[in-house]
Amino acid sequence: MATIVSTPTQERSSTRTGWPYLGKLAISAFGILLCLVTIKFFTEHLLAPRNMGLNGALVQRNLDLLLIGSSHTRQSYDIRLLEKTTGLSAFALAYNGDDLKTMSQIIDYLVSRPDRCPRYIVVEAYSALLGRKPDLQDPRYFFDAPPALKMRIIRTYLSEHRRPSALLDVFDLVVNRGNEAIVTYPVNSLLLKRLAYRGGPTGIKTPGVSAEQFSHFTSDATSGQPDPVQLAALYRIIDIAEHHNISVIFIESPLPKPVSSDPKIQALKADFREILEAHHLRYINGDLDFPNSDPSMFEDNNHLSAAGREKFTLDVSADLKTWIASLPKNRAAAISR
Amino acid sequence: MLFNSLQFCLFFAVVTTLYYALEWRWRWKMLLVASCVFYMAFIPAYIFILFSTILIDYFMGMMIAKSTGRRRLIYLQVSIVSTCLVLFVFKYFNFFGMTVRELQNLLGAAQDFPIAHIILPIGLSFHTFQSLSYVIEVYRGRQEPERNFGIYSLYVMFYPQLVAGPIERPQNLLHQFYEDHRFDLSNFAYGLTLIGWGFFQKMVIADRAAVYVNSVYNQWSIHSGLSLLVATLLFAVQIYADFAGYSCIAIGCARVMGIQLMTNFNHPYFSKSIGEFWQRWHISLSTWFRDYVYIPLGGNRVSVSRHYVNLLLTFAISGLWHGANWTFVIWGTYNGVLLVIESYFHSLGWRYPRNLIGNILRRTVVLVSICFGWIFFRADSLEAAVGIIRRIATDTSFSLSSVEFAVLPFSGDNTAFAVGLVTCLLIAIMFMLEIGAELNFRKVRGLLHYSLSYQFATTLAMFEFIMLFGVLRASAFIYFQF
Repeated sequence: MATIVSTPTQERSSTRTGWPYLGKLAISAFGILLCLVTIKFFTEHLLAPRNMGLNGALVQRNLDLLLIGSSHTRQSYDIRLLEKTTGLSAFALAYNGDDLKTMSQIIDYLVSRPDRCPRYIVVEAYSALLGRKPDLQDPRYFFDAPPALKMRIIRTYLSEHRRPSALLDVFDLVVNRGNEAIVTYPVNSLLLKRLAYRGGPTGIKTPGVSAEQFSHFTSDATSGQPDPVQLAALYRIIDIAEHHNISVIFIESPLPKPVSSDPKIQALKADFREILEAHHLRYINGDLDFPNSDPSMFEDNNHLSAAGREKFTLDVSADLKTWIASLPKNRAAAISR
Repeated sequence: MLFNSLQFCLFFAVVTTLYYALEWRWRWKMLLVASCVFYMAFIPAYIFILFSTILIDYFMGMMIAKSTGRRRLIYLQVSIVSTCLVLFVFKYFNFFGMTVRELQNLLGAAQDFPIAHIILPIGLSFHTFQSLSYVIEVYRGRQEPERNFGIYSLYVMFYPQLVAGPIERPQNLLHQFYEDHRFDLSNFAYGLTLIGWGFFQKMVIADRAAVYVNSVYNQWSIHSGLSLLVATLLFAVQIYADFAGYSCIAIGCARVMGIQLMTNFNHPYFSKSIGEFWQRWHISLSTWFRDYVYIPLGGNRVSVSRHYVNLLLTFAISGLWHGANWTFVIWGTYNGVLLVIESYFHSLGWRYPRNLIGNILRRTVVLVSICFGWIFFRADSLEAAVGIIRRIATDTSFSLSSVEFAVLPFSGDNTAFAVGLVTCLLIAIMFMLEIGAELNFRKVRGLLHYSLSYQFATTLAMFEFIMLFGVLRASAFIYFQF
């Protein structure tokens, strides 16, 4: 701190080497860090919010409808309106950038907790994610996960990213992320209660975009071919649904027309439909019967505005009621729209 | 090679170990090689540009010392012109070209002035000024020319201060390379503590503030006046913590080896006047401009109007030094105007009341004035700067939702409030320690100086803060672009 203090006092004669000092510093520094991080690793999920995310889903009892996906899901459903129109209890478990790989992990974990497993699951079928390489985009998922799931996340990440910097990514995730939420927990938890209703947005009215911005929208799809890991995750979800008798429906929320008409998106949508039809699972394409040429319905190139969310929630409520009514006791219905 | 990278940590450990392992006669050679490696980690070929300026100034220094009369001035002018030419070509050519094109456009002529695709060599503005400082001091007779080319090269490219200062004077630095610095634990511990503090300022304070500032300033037109105001205040914190942090790391790295670099920052935001601010901010550059531009122009030992012109000119050039854009020139000139206004009111005998309110008022006025200038420094263009100022002044809406939107850029999701609150707390910790040092509180000074245990505890605390709250992805220091 050259700005805080001036020259140091020479208080003792020089020693031959700084290694003992450095050694003590390093041991103390890493020892304290290890203690803090260990405590954090085993307890931070207890501080996770109860009105959103994985912890929020786990505290729900007798939950009817779980909507799982990315921010695409979170922005697409007005949970309060959905509950009112369907008469079902609902919860949106959404993390930014959540892909099929992450969703399969979460669903796998939920079915291991039968007392917390919902009756119906709506899986996000956002086609752009099918073509994307798996990645952990939202560190809050790791923060919210119990220790066993955390270990699984780390193992999966390291096995998928075989490069030296993956260890630094894990270090960053385990040591550095989420500490703000821990430090500000008493105040932050009160604020978070206000920001979400059962995982869905509340309060902030997101406006639509201008016609000019709308016309410049492009899709986020990096490839028109399904990523092998995402594809495997999709099959895993289907497998879990079949073996645990869980009713699953796949819904793709509306996309703006310039994005939806992208050939890569169209190709991925077709792949989704084909796979789900082969397994007799219901797939709803949100673009149909939705005014996806109207800029006021969209906040950006893949999220609905408040107006779009309300419209889509009303539309999909009817579809959900129809689907649930058509369900045999133990199997999902088999018609794709 | 950024300071905040694992690569640098390894480099620093190796260089420092070798420094003490080698006999003192070999140390400067090792440091020179290490500095070359450090510089070449950016763009290797640019080492030739650096060495060409070193070569010219080394020989001009020798020639100045051997010559008499008018010849000395000619050699000095050759050195200044050649150094400034390098600076012009690599840093200002495109700016000059764009300005000419705009003039051509205004006159209705074809915009055909050539634009080159040149990457600015890292640290160019700093090491050229350091070289010029050497040649000028030799000319003034205040410094003997350095006969050892290797030592002179090391003076210019000593790795801790090569890319972003402090801009050293030859009287302070050159002789230190001849000294046998034996290992001293208090120097070593103090150096490590300085490094720890520097990384705390950079990674915990500056990089956190940068997330918000970049998010808002890069898309200023969609943000409210409140967000822009918060971003401006955070930029004031960011630029201070970033640059002072870099300086601390540089000074600490040198101190670990027993080499003392000059202090570059002295709690500038506690200044009671604009003049005092510029005595505390980027001290090495301010004193450079004072000694080599302002005083040769006449300083304040001329008529009042000429004094004011000297101030404006000096600060305009200082602004231009910071970057090849009219926003920097305006920022520099604006600070010159502030000094002129201050000087004028001082000449009229106007003073702030000598009480607590007066003290708070004068510091607030200085802070607000400086923060206003930072808008021009940070904005991408003049148009953006004007737009930001206009929006801050006119968009005075303050509601719960406007506050929610203002907090959002801290992270873009529902962690924004937590991140924002922690960022503010960490900034408060930094400034509380600075207030303590400013008020000369013994305990704060003791954090670094009075015992090894204090230094040990401080370094340890900084490490934990950096690991837990720092932005661990390496990002460049702001002043690297200059």
